[in-house]
Amino acid sequence: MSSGTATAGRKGMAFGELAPGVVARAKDGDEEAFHLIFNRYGRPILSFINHLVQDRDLAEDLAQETFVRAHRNLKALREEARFSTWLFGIARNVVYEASRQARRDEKHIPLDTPESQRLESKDLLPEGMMRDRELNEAISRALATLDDDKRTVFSLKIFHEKSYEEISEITGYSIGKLKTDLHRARAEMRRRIAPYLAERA
Amino acid sequence: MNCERMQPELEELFYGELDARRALELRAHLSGCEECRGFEAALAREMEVYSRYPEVEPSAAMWDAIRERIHTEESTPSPEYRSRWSFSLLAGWLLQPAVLRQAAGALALIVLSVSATIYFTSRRDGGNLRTGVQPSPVADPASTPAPDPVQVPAPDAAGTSALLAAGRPAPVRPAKAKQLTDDEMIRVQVGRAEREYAGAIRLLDRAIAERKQQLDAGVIAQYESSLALIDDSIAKSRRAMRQDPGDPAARQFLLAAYARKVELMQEIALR
Ligand SMILES: [Zn+2]
Repeated sequence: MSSGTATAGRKGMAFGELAPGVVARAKDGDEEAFHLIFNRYGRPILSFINHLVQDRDLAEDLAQETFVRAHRNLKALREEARFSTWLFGIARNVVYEASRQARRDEKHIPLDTPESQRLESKDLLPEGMMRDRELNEAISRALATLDDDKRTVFSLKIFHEKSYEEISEITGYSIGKLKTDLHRARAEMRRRIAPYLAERA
Repeated sequence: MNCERMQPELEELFYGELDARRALELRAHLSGCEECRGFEAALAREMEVYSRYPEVEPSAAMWDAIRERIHTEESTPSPEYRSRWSFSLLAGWLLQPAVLRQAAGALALIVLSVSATIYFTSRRDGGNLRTGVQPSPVADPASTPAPDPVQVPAPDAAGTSALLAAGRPAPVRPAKAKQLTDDEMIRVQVGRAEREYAGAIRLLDRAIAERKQQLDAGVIAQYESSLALIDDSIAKSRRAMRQDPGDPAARQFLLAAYARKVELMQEIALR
């Protein structure tokens, strides 16, 4: 086993790093450059937000807000190398703000989607795909049961492969807290998806 | 080595967060410990499963929406909506169009019906009412007590349209009102409050439609997304109430959500 290779598939998947200077161009008001940024980060940011809120439509709205806010505050970004961390930090703030706002409106974010909505057409899928899908649904449900801090840390580490340092920067949590949260989140997730893993093995 | 205590470190080994010396020690231990190797294999399987959890693809419309909002911001240098909703409800009241004055009349009725609901609820519950509901939507929101963080029950799978249901409140038979129990009275009052909210909302909606041209696109976008959140919690509370009509939490949520909706609409209508 070599550490760090287990999830290597995800990082380089569809996008490379931004070409140097793109952020600087966007900072100068170049819309094309900001579009490149969106093309690179739209998917991870939307996915991150969706992990947190477990609601696709809401996630789109909040991701949109994230990019608008990023554009608005781009001039305040000092270290371009930290752009991704900065952007995830904005996304995290947008979600937590929306959640606070929604709590004032009596709505709890994230809401878990009713299972019936997710399982609708599984009979039509081949068995292997169906199992994958069930597993992914189990992961979604398990994510929804984590508390907000644990879910945030879990998503950033497991799905977005951020370092402890980056997660600390994005969330404002101490390394100690996020390590504890992460380990507990993993244990909780493991307990919940274990039956599905056993089925596959 | 204590194997159980090593589990967090084994996870860190996977993340590449362990320093080189400790990583070596752990690997040495792994080669001689079946239990830890078992855990390592389970972790590897887990990581593989997580790595295949799909990402969410942005919709085609997302960039267009972002672009549009960016352009709007550029043409209006310091949008007001950044400073959150400022709430000065009665400012310039008489200058407002007639439809808003009608809405104010409707709101006065809401205060009455919501107060009545609270009165009957507290009477039935022996006065132990949790007053999370803001009785008057006209009050300053800063003085609103924070509602209890009770969760709305999960929606039922076969939820009917909240919009359709909202248009058809339970019929009230005033002639029989005297013989009603407190429980029935509560239901009657909730129904009445709902109808009155619906009336005020229709009026405010008209006022907002008339004003929409003058409003900043960012304001409208924010208004619409807030409204969607509120409508969702109204729909959920209604569903919860259908499942258990006597549920005080659901009732409280429903009325609070209506109050919030009216507040939000007033803010927009009176901007
Ligand atoms: Zn061991």
